[in-house]
Amino acid sequence: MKDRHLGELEELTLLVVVSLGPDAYGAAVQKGLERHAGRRIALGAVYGALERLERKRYLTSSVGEATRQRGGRRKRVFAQTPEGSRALREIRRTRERLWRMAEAAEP
Amino acid sequence: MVSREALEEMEGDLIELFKSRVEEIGIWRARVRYWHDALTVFRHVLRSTRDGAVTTRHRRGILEAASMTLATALTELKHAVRVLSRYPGYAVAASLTLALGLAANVAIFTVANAVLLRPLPYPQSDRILSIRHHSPGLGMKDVASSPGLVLRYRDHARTLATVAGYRMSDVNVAGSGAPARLRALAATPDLLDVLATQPTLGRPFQPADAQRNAAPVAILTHNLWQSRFGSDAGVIGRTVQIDGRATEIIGVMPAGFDFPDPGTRLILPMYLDPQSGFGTLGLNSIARLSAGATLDDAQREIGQLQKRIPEWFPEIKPDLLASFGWSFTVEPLRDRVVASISRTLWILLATVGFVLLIAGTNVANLFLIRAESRQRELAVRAALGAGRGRIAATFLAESLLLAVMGGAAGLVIAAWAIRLLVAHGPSQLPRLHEVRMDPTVCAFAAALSLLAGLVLAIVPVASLGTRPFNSLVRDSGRGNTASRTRQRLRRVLTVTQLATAMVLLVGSGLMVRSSLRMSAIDPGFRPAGLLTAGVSLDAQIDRARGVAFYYQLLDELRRLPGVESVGASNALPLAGGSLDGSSFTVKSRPQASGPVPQFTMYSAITAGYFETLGVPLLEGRRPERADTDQSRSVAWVNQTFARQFLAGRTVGETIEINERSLEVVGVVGDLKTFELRDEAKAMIYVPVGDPLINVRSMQTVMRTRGGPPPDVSALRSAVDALNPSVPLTTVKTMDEILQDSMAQMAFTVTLLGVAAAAALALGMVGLYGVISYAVSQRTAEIGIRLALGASPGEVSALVLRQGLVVVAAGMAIGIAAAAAATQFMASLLYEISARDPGTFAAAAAVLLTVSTVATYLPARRAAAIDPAQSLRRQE
Repeated sequence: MKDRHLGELEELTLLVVVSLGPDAYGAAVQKGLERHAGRRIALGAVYGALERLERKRYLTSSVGEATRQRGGRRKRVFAQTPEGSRALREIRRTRERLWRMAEAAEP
Repeated sequence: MVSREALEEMEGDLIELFKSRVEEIGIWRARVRYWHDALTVFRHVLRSTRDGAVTTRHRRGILEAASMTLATALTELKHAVRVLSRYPGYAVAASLTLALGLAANVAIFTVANAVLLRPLPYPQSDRILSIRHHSPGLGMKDVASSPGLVLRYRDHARTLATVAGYRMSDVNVAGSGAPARLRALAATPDLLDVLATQPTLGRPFQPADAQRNAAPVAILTHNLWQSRFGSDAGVIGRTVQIDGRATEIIGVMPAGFDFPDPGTRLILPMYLDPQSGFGTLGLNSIARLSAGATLDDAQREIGQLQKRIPEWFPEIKPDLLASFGWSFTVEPLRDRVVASISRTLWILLATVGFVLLIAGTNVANLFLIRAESRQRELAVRAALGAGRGRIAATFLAESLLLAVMGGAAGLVIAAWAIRLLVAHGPSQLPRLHEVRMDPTVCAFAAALSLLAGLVLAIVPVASLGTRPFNSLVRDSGRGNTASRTRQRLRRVLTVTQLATAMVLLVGSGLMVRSSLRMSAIDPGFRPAGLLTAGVSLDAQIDRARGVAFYYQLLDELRRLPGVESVGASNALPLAGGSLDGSSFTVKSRPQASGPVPQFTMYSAITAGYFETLGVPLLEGRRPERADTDQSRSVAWVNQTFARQFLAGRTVGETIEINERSLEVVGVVGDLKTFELRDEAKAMIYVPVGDPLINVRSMQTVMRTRGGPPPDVSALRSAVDALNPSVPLTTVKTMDEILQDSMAQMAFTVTLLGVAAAAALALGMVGLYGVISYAVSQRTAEIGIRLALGASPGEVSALVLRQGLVVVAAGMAIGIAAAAAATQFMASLLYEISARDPGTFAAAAAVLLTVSTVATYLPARRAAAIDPAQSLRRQE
């Protein structure tokens, strides 16, 4: 993958996956984005983001168990790779650096 | 590539999100978001498939093929949108034509759905049955049931859980507002159990409410509760005067309860005497099936119970029952409710189906012409490797797009048309108030639009023919060989249109002639200039005071400006409602009656009634005021009675009826009693006040002198001058009553007429289009003919001949089809055969005339072609 840049939706998605821990699958991520990031993102777009993150090797996925709540269908569970965690930390550092500079510039 | 696992995971997410949203934002918004999510997931799958990059496990499957097809469909659809927006005129014409055809179908289907298909608004309404009896031997097709029968069925029929009897009556209500005469449903208490509907407020009837001397109670309908009691929940326990008796209000029915029709305002308990014999017929009965029992079971059991009638009612001997021609019908209540209209609606549905066929054919013709002009484009696409399927997909996308646009516009037009129908449809049309669009209607509209789209696409694809596909490329250069198939196909389409138009013309022609014959029926009186108004007194009023009131009222009415003469009867002709009837004997010929009792109906009249209506007095003397003196005991009979029962000897005969002995003092002309199309029935008229008929209510009738008739307020003040607590009921002119009695016929005639006119217009547009196009295609040929010396007259004859061959074929097929189709409407017709040659000839003449015009216009244009110019254009 040449382009490993993280778009905003991908960044938020990756963060939600990390924060959900072992219970990160499509519907949960969608709900997480809606609840904690205040973003109402269509499920298809969430899948798109997850798929791109997987292609960029920031996420891996495996088949999880089925629950009654989902009509007995299994889920695809996502987890961040070390590269994913590193990319998030990188973004955070960048943001913090920029914030410090911005605050210093304001009177 | 989407694996089965991926699909399962996505489904799971969709289901889970839906379930959790139902709790958070409600089912409707959850549904909306579900579909939105599902669409985006689908788009996601499509994209991933195209990029060939969905994660792991690869399993090629149906899903992949389907998503490829969908990708193609999306491309073609985009293409179609582009093409159509490039030809907006064509797009609008085609989709509007479809819209009109679809709208007509959706509108009529909406009515049919509400009236014929949707269950009645009661729980498990398919288990409610109507039970009635027939007695042709007594001269009555339908005698409903009797209290005795209802009670016996209730005791003995094991297939029926409950059997209820009811009857409609009008009652005077006073207290809480102006006195009013309201329609009341008098019913046995278990009627509400049969309907499985209970009051929303207060309590239902208890068996004790329907005992002989029970305190009077009433349940209000929602409508009356709102209008008269301002939706006051404190109304329970209040007392109103119903027919002069203090009656306690015990309950309010839910909104929308409108048994047996929306006119009901009150429900009163009805007492059935367990000692009653076979009793008075005319009590309606409905029943609910027991758990596990079927309609067949109930029919079989009621059939067996008929054999026990002589055992239950000793006065009914088996041979008497046989002489009645006694039989019964047990049918679902819904069938009974809609019986009067179902055939009309099915015919209308077929009719609008034909209209859609014609409209669709026009669009197909447009489509073919477009296909022709797209020859080059298609050829290029074929050359670039598009297969037959892909070309078909192009047409399909375009036709579906047109159909969807047409369908959407059609829904809007239909919604408007339905409002018009409900507002102006005949009030007797059962369940008209229930007509509205619902998901079934929308599904019907969607399915019909898609079907239209599919069929439309078949036409140009078929026109590609079975020739090797690449010949498209060869043909596209120039020349007319390829268009041959299409020319032929278009002519076939036009023949179909003309044939269909012919069928509709014949159908509506038959209805128009029926209604003309019906309006030409002599009702037995002169309706023009007659005004009618009903008044009713309290049930307890004594006879002498009632009679005095009516004559005082007539005096008041006669004084109104413009009124020439006045009279009154308890039952006006054709005004609906019921008539009393009974068996009787003629004193001088007691044995004439035989085993079957003679039966007659009777009504009460005042002096001046016959003169005011314009009914001729054929023999004897007119009624006078003094006849109300009971010691006179006089009666008038109508012509039919005199012919059937008196055999020439009339005045001076004595009739014994219901323990009264009445002397015939006159014979009057026949009146149509119930319906214009009925035969006249035997009638006896007695002076108002005769014990045969109670004096509770009368319909006054006034003949006015040309000018405007007195208005309601003038009538009201005439009544007020005597007694302000007497309600004035329906004020109508006799012409309005006559119109009402023909309303259903008029409704059918109007709708069929509109359909036929639309069919004719659309058919002519099609014919004109085809002939014009043929002329434009043959410009070169015609130019050569003219150059070689053909006269313009010969040229237009050529074109005209070509057109008329199509017309003749359409007419021939149409006449044959009409002869078959009109059989189904025989029961709607009046005094005219479904194969009336005059109507067929007239329809053919109309079609031929209009077709000739539609063909003549392009023919004249052909004759005016300038040969030099047409040949030059071909270079």
